[in-house]
Amino acid sequence: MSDQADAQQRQQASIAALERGQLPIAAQERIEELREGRSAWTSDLSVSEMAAIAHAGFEPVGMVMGSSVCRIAAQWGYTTVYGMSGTAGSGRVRTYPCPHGFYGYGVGSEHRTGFNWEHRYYEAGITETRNLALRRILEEAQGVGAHGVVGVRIMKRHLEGVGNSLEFTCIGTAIRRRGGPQLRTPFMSHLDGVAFSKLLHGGYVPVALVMGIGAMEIDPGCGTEWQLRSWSNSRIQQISDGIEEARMLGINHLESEVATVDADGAVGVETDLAAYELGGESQLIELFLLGTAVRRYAKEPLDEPPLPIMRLR
Amino acid sequence: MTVAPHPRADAALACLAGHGGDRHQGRGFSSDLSVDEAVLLKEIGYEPRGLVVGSAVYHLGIQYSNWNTNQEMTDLTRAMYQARQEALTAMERHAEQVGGQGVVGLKLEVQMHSGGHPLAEFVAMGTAVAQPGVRSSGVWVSDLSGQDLYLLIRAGYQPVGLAFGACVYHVAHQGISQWMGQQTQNIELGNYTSALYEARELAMTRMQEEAERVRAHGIVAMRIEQKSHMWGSHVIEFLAIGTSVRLAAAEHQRLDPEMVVSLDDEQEPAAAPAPASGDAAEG
Repeated sequence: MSDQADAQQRQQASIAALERGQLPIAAQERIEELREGRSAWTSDLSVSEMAAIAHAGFEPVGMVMGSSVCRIAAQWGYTTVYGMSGTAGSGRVRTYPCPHGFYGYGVGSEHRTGFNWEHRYYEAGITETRNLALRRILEEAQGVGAHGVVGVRIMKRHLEGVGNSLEFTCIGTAIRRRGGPQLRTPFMSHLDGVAFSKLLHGGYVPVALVMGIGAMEIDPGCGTEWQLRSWSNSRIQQISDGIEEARMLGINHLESEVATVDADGAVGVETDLAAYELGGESQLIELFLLGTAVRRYAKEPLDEPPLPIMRLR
Repeated sequence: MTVAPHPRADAALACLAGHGGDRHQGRGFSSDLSVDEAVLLKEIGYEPRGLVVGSAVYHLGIQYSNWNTNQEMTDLTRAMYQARQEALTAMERHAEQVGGQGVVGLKLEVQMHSGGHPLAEFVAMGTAVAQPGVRSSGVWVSDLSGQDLYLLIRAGYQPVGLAFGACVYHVAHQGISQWMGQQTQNIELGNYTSALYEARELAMTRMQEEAERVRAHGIVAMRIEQKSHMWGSHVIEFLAIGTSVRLAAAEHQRLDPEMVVSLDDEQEPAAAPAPASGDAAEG
C-alpha cells in the first residue's frame, strides 16, 4: 500500500474515531506512549513552575491538548429573524422605540425601532465547541493517568469571520501525585505551576476551567442614530445598555458554571471584549470570560503569615 | 518509589475526590484577582464576592476653541468626568448587589471606538470584596492591587474611596511670525509649558478636593495620565487618579520588612510610575 493511501486511511479512521466520541489516532498513540512511560515526559513548565509543582507534591506527566472546530449557526438582525412582532423566545431583548412616535421598521426608513438582543444560539454554539475541546483534553489527561492539568492556554479563533466556524483549542501540562486517589474528572487550571502551588498552599484546590460568554447584537434605532450624529457630548443609552448587558451575561454564565462544577469561586478571571460589524449599523458585542474554578479544602490559609520583604536590587 | 507524605496535596485531592474540605458558605464568586491577591486578602479577613463592572458609552462631540489661546475645554472635561463617574456608579451598584463592601484592583479604562462616530466606552471593573460578619455602609473603591491593600491595612490604614480629577486642555498654536522667528534657536515653548502646568494643576486640585470631601488623610498610588485620545496633539486630557486613605489605627503600624537579595536572573522592572503615553506631545 502506498504512503498516500496509508495516510488517507489513517485520516478516515481519525474522523470515525471523532464521530464515536474518541480521540484522533495520532493523539491516541501519543497518550499510549506517555502512559507506558516509553517516551520522556514533555512539559512547557518553566524551571520555577517545575520546582513549585514538586514542592506541592506533584510531578509532570506530559503535555495534553484538546481541540475542536465547529460550525456556529448565527442569524443576525432581530427583525429579519423574528419578523416585526419580535417574539425572541428565550434570551434578552430590549427595544428602543422611535422618540418621535413613529412606528416605521423598514430598512432605510428614517424612523425605526432599535433592538438589543442576546444571541442564545451563538452563545450555545461557542459553549458546545468549548465543551468538545475540554472533553478531549480531559480524556487525554485521564489517559496518561494525571490528576490535573495546569497552565492551560486557550486559543479561540473565528474562522471565515464571526458567526461561521470557530476553532477552540486548549493545551496544558498534565501533572499527577504518585499514589493519590483516582479522580473521576481531572482538575484544570489556566494558572501556571507557581500559582497552582500558591493556591494549594493557600487552602484552595483548582477544580475546572470555567467560561462565560455574553453575545449581544446592537441594532441602533433612529433615536440612537440621531444622537450619534449630534454635536453634543452625551451618553448613548442603547450602546451602554448593550455592552453592560453583554458583560453581565458573561459574568452570570461564568458564575453558573462555577456552581455546576460545585466550586466555591473562580480566580484569575480574564475578560476579552470584542465588537464585530454585522453590516448596516448593527454590531455584535461578544464578551468572553475565562477563569479557574477553585474549591476550598482547608480553612487555615497559611502555615505562617506572609513575610514583608524588601528587594535589594 | 516511595512518595513523601504531603498533607496539603493529599487533603486537596481528597477534597476533589469528593469527601471533606472546608467549603465557602453562600454563592460562588468570580474574581479577576491573581492567586497572591486572593490569598493575601483572605489573610486580612476579606473574601471575594464577585467580578463587578459598570460601563458608559459616550458620544464625544466637538468643542470649538480659539486656535491661538490656551484654555480648558470645559464641555469635554465635564463629559470625560461624568462618563467615568457613571461607569463607577454602575459598578458600585453591581458591587452592592453581590454584597460587596469594597472593590479592589479597579481598572478604569477608556476605549475609543474608531469608525464612523466619535464613541468612547468608559469601563470600570474590579473585584468586590467583603469582610464576613462586619457591617458597613456604602462601598469603597480602590485601584490598588491585593498586595498593596494587604500592606496598607497591615500598616493601619483603611481605603476610603477613589479620588480623581480630569482636565481637558487646549494648547495654543503659535502665530506664523513667531514660528519663523524661532526656527533657528533652541527655545522654550512657553505656551506649551504653561499650558501643561495649568492643566496638570487643575486635574490634581480636583482630585485633592474629592479626597478632602470624604475626609481622607491622604492619597496613595496616585498617577497622572496624559492622553490626547482622538483630538490631535493640541488637545490633551490630564487625569489624576489615586486611592484616598484614612489612618484607622491609632498610629502607623511598623511592618519591619526583611531584606532579601533576589536570586532570580530576570530583571524586575523598577516600580516607576506609568509613563505618559507618547501621543500627547509634539507640535
